[in-house]
Amino acid sequence: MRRFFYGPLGGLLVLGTLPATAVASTPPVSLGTLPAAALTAARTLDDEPEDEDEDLVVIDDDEMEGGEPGAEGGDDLVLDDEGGDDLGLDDIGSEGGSAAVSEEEAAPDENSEEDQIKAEMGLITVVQRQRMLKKKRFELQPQFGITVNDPYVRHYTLGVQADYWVTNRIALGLVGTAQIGAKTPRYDNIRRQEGLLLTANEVLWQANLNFTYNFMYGKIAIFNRALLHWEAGVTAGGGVMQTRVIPRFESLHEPFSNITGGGVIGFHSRTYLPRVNWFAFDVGLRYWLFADRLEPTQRGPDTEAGGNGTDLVELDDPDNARDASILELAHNVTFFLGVSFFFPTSFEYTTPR
Amino acid sequence: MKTTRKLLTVGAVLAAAWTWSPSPASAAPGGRKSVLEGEPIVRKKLQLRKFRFQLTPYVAMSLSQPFVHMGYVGARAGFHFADWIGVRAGFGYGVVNVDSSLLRAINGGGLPVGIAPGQTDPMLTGENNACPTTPNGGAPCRPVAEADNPAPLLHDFRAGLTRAQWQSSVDVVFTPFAGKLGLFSAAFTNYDIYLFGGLGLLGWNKHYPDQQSTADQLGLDDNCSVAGSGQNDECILHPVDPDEGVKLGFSFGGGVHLFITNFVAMNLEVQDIITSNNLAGLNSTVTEIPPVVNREDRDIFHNVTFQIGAKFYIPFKAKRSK
Repeated sequence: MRRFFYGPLGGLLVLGTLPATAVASTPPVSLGTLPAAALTAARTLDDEPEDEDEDLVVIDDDEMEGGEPGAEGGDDLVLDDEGGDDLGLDDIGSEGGSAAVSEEEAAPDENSEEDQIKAEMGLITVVQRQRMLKKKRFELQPQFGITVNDPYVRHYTLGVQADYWVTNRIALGLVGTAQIGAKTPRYDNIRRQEGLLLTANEVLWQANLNFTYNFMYGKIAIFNRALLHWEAGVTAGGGVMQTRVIPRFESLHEPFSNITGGGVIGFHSRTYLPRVNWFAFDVGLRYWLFADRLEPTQRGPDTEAGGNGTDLVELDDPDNARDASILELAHNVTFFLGVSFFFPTSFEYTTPR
Repeated sequence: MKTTRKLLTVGAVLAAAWTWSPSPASAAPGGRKSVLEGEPIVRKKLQLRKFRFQLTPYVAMSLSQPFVHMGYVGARAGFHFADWIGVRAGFGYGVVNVDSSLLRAINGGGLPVGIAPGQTDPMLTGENNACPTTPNGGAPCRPVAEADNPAPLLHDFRAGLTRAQWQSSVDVVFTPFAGKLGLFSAAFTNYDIYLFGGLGLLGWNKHYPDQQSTADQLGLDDNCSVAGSGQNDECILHPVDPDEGVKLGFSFGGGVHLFITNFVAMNLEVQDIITSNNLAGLNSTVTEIPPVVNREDRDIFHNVTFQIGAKFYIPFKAKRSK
């Protein structure tokens, strides 16, 4: 398929239809501020004039899909006017604030077109101008989650993550989570069917220091009508938590709790809204590996004196039971949803692209 | 309370309208209609799904299972009517099964094993202190010392335990989200995120196919007796009826495709097939005397699997939108 462009801005628009990033080096200009001639030229993206003249520029889609670096990344023509970062028209409309294309930029360069393209290719990144800049901003992220790894005890979590973004990709933060544990129907079913009392713990709270690195960034089109920016990354850290045993014989024994420590890793993704510079939706998975104390097996009702009892009466006391417990590795996997608030609530781009 | 709820609803609607309303930047000066107005966000978009058949061999592992973790190998076939909606059918067969820590604990002494036929109960004296070997060679007996233990004997538990041997589903696939992502600003790919829902099937088989219950070993009838003998206590108190067969339920989940080329994508998916069944094949209610294993003992079971596959699209070349 061929498309035809006329007029002095045709050359610029050609770059707009090259692989996504080829035009990204053009200083951002609001589409609304473009002269009418430019808008007319822009409209020609949809038009396919039947006449050709000597100024026409031909773009061959098959060539666009060739093996040039970045060609894959930019093979769709993005008309998003929010992020302003993929290519062409949306770059013309990004937030840079510059009023118009300068004469210097509009004038033909001394270099050949090929040299220009090569130079621009060198500046190309996959997705230019991220929607949200976070460097030197604080983020406060309330979270709600649910544990997914334990078929016997489910935890509902409520927490807050506070991050300081050292760079746009790296953050240091603190996470605090309160957890409400509840026995699942499976827990009771095993008690009824197998006559077994499970040894299980519930987590009361967790707190940890986090190192965050966002290594994925992208855009997502919703029914090709709305475009959102998102990013994803990993977290790693360590912290403390408090757990509490669920006594096998709850009517006989008091639970005891245990403060312990462990490591945590996670994966998260966040999606930004089109025009809100201080808000994002978050989703993630957090995995804790920690040492936990389980209820001793000899803490039971059979404490009959005289040698018949198989359980130890001294373990009725929670402190003694805790002392007699053995540390074991435990896992806690939480799926969470959250919303992020960024402070300060606005930011400014420092580069033209 | 109602007023507060209404205010919150109105606020949420207004906030959503403000958030999703067209950007001022898309309105040309002078009130002219913007060239972008009404246009799709992405022009000349690769339609990676529309009118393409899809074949997805996959491997899967079950998550958060109480007794047996399963590893499946399977495939899905699908077709998309539009870029955002399609149908598919899939089947996965369990080729690996791993006992959970709970099942290992049960097998390792968590449940009483009883006395083997012919062996004597140390708590009993006299002539009838041995576990009978008739009829049919006998079955393990509960020792007197374990008489108060409400747990079934291990062989009865094992005789009733089932596992999800295969799974299948027919789903409608909904793909509202598609885009591109970059990794370290160096690697990039098309991707989409999808949700699906439909009908699911689970095929349940005995985990220990050769294990017989007390009733089976002794050839007892429905009253837990055999001609010429009284009722068997173990059979009465711990009836076993493995819940084998095909169970129909619901299937739903979501996943992501990461396109390696325009016709091959890596597929990560989480699927949950919900059925109603009795995993252990044992009684769990107290409403029947004597205990009976019936539909009341079933509960909702989630066979959640994490799946990794490679999806192949046919025809190989994707068309572009206008």
